[in-house]
Amino acid sequence: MQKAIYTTVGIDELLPHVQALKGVGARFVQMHAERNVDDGTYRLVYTFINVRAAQEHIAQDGSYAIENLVIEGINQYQEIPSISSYYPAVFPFENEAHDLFGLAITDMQVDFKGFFYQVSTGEPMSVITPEVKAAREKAMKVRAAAEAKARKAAAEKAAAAAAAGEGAAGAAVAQPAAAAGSDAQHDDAAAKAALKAAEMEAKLAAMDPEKAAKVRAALAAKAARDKQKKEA
Amino acid sequence: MAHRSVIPFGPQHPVLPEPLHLDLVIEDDRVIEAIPQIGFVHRGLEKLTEKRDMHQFGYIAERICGICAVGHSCGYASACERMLGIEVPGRVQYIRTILHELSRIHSHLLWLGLLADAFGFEALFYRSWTLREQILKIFESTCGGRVILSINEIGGLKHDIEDSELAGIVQTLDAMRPDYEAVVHTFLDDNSCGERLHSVGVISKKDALDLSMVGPFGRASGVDYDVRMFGDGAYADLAAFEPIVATDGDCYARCQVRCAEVTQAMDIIKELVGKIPHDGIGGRTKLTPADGARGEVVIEQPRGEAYYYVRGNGTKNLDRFRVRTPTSQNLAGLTHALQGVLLANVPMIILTIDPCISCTER
Repeated sequence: MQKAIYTTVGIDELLPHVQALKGVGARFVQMHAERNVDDGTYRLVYTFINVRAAQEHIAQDGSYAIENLVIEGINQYQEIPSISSYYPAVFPFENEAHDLFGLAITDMQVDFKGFFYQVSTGEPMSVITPEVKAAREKAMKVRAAAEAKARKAAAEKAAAAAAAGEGAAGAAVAQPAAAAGSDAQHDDAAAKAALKAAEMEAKLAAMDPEKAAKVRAALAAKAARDKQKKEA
Repeated sequence: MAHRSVIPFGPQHPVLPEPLHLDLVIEDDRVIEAIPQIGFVHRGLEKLTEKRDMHQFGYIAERICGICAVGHSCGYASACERMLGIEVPGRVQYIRTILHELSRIHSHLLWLGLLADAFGFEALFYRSWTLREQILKIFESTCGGRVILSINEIGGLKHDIEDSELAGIVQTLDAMRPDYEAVVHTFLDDNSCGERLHSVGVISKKDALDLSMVGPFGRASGVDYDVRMFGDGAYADLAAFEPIVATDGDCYARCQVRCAEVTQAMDIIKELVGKIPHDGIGGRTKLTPADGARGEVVIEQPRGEAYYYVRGNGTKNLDRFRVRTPTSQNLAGLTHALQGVLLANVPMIILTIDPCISCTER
């Protein structure tokens, strides 16, 4: 059975960790970059397998581990040292991280200086498309709505338990529970509205830009009319 | 000091079915340095996870490469299953392994044919590919496709392969053996083959380890590493498994390892067909990976260790899909193997790493 171990390291700690892995005879498996949609930072994952240790573990309990070093929260202007002096096989992946993600990796043994891949768009993997952003926001809203629903259910359960309790003491407990229920209902309504807005945003993102602009203008006009009616 | 010049090799070259470019720095007719260049047909498949959901992406993962299609679909499905915490039935693992081993046989036979073609032994090329055709017919009769099988899905298989069909596969392989042994005899014992392969493009075990070489390319230099020895999935039920290793580290050793691996794959298939459980073929499940959930898997593709990684973001699309194919890992070894060789041997050495540019240009 395969397991994965993830160890988060700082940029400064990368080379000592890699040196230690090389020292114990670990094989280099791969390196890749990831982009965080939420904050726009990058993550680098370096993967190794210590074959001898894996075989020993398999003999003991049937499992073995893939070891990963992870660097979180990287910005494009930060310099990341190349590990190619320890593992020369990393050069295609470091050049790839540079060409596709725009990451600045220094001291590569084989440096193609941005010409490893011939791409029509510079740093294509660093682009966060509106569809991805909208889908991500929608997922977050759905999660918020589910959490609000769970809170509401918990509040209702607590209220029911309190109502089933005895006399005035029970009634006293029910009051804050009802207040909590009201808060939860408010949360629920807000989450539903946010979800609806996110769905609309996703639809707009998928539309032709000109059409989307017209729909946005129409929605804004409708919101203004509704507001005027309310005030009147 | 002899005059140095740079010869561009590829991207279009008779020995290369796909575009790979090498700048060969030569002195007289000896290569001093080789600098590889890929990226001519990069497809950006990893970015497509933004537009295709996890099930749809299975079809794309399978199309990363035509030769390793089964391995890619198994690797992708396994990584997703690991991320989602899905345990597939034993029969699914067995059928995936059987198909994967069949694909190893067809990949190695394809390579043997190309090797024979590269040194001008056309009859041997025909015979190798005639044998390979029988594996493609097995694929066609059991899955409907000769290259893209589309049998895997996340959580199981799309359809079962009947026991009678599995027995038929074993019969076909048994019937192939005498012809295959004759082909291997020619590759390994014929002078005309041996003269082109012996002592060409030698890589020592130390260099192979330092360069993290994988697959038959590494094992031919004495690196006793094969992911199958970890016993994942159906491989755990094999009576014994030992990586096939040679020590010479030359083109002949690479040919020797691949020839032996075909026979090993036939034995594995026979053993697994005899033990296959009947516990269902799983099925498609609702895909809801948690935000930040990860799954990774390494498998032994015909060309060596391949790594698959998936990361969920709470939606039906993956946040990141990563595949590291064996050829990407062997590029450093390729440049090392070319240093100091005669220019005439360059095509042979490139061929013996079995480069798959489709995989590399995913």
